[in-house]
Amino acid sequence: MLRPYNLGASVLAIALALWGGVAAAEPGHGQVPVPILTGASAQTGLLRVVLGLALAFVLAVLAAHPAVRRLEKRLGLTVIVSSGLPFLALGVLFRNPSVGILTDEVVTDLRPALEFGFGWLGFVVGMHFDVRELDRLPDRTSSVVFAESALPFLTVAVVTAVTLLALDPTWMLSEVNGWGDAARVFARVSLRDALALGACAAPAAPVAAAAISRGAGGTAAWLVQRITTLNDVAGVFVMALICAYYRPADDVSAWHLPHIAWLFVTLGLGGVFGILTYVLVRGAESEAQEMALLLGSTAISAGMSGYLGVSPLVTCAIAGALLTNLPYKGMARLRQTMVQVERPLYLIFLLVAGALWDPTAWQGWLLVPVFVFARVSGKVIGAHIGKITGPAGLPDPATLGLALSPQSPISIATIVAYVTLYRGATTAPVLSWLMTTCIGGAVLTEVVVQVVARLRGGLTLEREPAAGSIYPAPPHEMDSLTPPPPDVHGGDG
Amino acid sequence: MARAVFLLALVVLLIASARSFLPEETSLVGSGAALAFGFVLLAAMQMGTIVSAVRLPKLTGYLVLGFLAGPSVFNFVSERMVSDLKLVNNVAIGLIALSAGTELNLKRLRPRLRAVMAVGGVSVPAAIVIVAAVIFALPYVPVMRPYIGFLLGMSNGERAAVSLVMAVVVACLSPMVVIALINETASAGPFSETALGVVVLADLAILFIFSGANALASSVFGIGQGSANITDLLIHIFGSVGVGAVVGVIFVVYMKRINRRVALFAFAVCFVAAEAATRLHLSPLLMCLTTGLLIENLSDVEGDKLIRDMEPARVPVFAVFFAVAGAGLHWKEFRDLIPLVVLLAAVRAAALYVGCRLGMVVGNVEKEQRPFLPSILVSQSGVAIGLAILVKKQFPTWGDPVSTCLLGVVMINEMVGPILLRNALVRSGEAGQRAVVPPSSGH
Repeated sequence: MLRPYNLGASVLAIALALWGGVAAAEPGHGQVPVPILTGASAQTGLLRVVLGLALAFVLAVLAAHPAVRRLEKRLGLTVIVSSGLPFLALGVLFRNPSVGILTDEVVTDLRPALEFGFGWLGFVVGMHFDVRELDRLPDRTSSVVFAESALPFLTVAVVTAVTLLALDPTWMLSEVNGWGDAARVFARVSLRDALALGACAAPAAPVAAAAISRGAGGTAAWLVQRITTLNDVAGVFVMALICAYYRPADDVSAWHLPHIAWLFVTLGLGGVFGILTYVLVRGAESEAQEMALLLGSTAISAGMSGYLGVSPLVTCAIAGALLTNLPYKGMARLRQTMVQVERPLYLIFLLVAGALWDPTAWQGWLLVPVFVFARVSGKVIGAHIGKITGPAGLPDPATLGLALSPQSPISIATIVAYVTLYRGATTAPVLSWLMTTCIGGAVLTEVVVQVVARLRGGLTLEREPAAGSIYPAPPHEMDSLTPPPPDVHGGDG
Repeated sequence: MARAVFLLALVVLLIASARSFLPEETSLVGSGAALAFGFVLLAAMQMGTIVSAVRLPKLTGYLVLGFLAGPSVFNFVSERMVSDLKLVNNVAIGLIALSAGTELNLKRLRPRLRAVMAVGGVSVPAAIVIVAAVIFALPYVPVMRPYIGFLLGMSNGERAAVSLVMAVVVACLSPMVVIALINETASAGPFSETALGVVVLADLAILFIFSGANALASSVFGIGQGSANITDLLIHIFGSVGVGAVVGVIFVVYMKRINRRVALFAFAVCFVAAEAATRLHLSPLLMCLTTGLLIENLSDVEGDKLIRDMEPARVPVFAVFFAVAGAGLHWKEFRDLIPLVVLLAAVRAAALYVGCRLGMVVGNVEKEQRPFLPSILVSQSGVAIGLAILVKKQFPTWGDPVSTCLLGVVMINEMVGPILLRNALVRSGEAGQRAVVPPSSGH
């Protein structure tokens, strides 16, 4: 059951998101001179949009109910499969012209709400990066984190780049004339898309830890959970690079900076937002005021990032990482508040993903097995490398690889962030393929992992943690940011 | 206070640098709205802290911040951003009205009902009559003629109609400011209850009076059919009350049968009610006020519990609502009509003061409350702004300058009213008297 304060957080965050969407859905909005962001809104039947979105948000809050989470844990499913698919379907339904709730115009106009959501998620991702907790990790854990992030990223980026090269209609353009042009077009679009898919490949779902806690014991589970949370950072880092090197709004802006400068701007903004949030919440006189200030700082961070064409997910992750490492006695409550809204936000992103999705494009479906194969291969290879170079106490490489394979919901948020940032007439079909790839990949991975795990008997969910396990890590703690046990250096051997 | 000044400087620096990113005439979809929301919320809260350190109401800080940051002065928040943020207004009005309704316990108010009716019943008509008479007489004052071009050349009947419409809007009060300040100062007691009762009932009456004045002016100027306008306005008022009552019943059933996540439900209701009401040409204020009244007075559901649960939402909503109101004040238009606006604001204040003194005698108001009660009548906000905009739309031939003039009066009263009211609440000894009840848990 939610505490009132956190309920307030849910109410405010979701209501703000709802407001943002509807604010922009007002007729007459969306008339902008930025080519990639254009989309003049006609009369979109605001009342229908309001009621439809209100229904979706209420459903999202209901789907985040603890009972749903308990069911997920019991079945070992990620949020994408358990409650995400209905939202995806709802998104597709809402997009249907006869329903007309999430039309192209409305999705374009939903930007403020989405940005706020990305900002909020960014803070959540960054808050996982608590240096004090990282210090408690066994030596050489970083090598596992690196292998499990970098290898799936590389395998997916390379394999999908090659596939996109073959599928991308950009090659049909008359401007592509000779190898020089071809290389330029590839670097401009296909490589960017492949990097984005790579960014979605690194994060792993925390459900892995719960599964391992039953299959391989508490220590391994705790380690795996930390690895999954740190894997999210890799995705954010790649997004930062993409946004710096592929500027979405350079042609209309008054700032003309080199790409590397944008990377520094991103880092600087994240730092400023982190300090701003810290100074704000530290001075709060009540929990209600703290909540309001948190909302305001998330909104200004996300809004300013979006305004500058920088990913809010990235800047807010940096801000969250900074914030969580500064001394503040209410930090645990702050984290809990932020984490509590995480799930409804994921579900809303899936709803939007459904609306952006064109499941009829075969190219996207073709990319799905390619993506899954590359990603799972990367995870399994990473697990083997991690077993050799990492700390003791990890499960065997096959189990680790499989456990880290289910896709994190952050990958859906990442792809939605990417698609909304670069959405434009010329790239729309390819972006839709990416959406199919990411969503289809998540579902296919889950199916593959469940089947293989059950065949192997290694990740079966029947066994409870061994009695007397040093780190019992009950499932309900796995999704939270509960600090780890204090004496875990060197693992349990 | 030093922290607030530092933070205000920091957020101002942030938005100023962000706004330099795009050329003046360019805007991005969405990002502007999120940026403006974050800036307005944070900056308004810091400004609130700064002004409260010098014993002014936070609400004044919100308004001043909005005005300074808005398109009239520094343009950190552009016209387009203000327009995006106006949707917060409807939700805020819904929330404020719901709070007002749940705070108006008619059983508790009954002993003071005579005083409430007398103060409201005398001061508002007095203001309407006196202000209308002054406006009607303005063409005879040579020094004012440059500012009343819209009245010159009108027949006496037309001038009377315009005067009446303007006077009704000028007489509007502000339940929102009163509720917000009662909350801000945690006031409780007979004065607070009387104040709330007077402004809510008087504003309700003003809506009815405006419907009549509007219909009269429409028939005088041959715009539409007077009876049709009256019908529309009656539908507007009674439709809002009816829909609000239905929503109230749903609310009561929800709280009795489900009683979970009440705050979320309330927020969703306010949001949907606000948007639906706007689309259906109903009043979100009246709807949510009726809902709150029904919950508090006709059901055994605790209105206090609802208010406590809504507490976390009220801080940001109030800050943004009043800051956006401040940003909506147009200095350039106001500047050209300053003498007329100041005159009307002064006449209004004097008329309300005289009416209030008279009403207090008629209603036999307790002596302890008498020095403070006139202060509750000065503020103006949402309803007055809404009606001023309606006048502009309804009467294209003369509505534009009249609307500007009316908004100017609102601007003055918006700035001055909260200061007087806060002072009255503090001096009456009711500030800080509300028992601090922690939010309920486990719902």
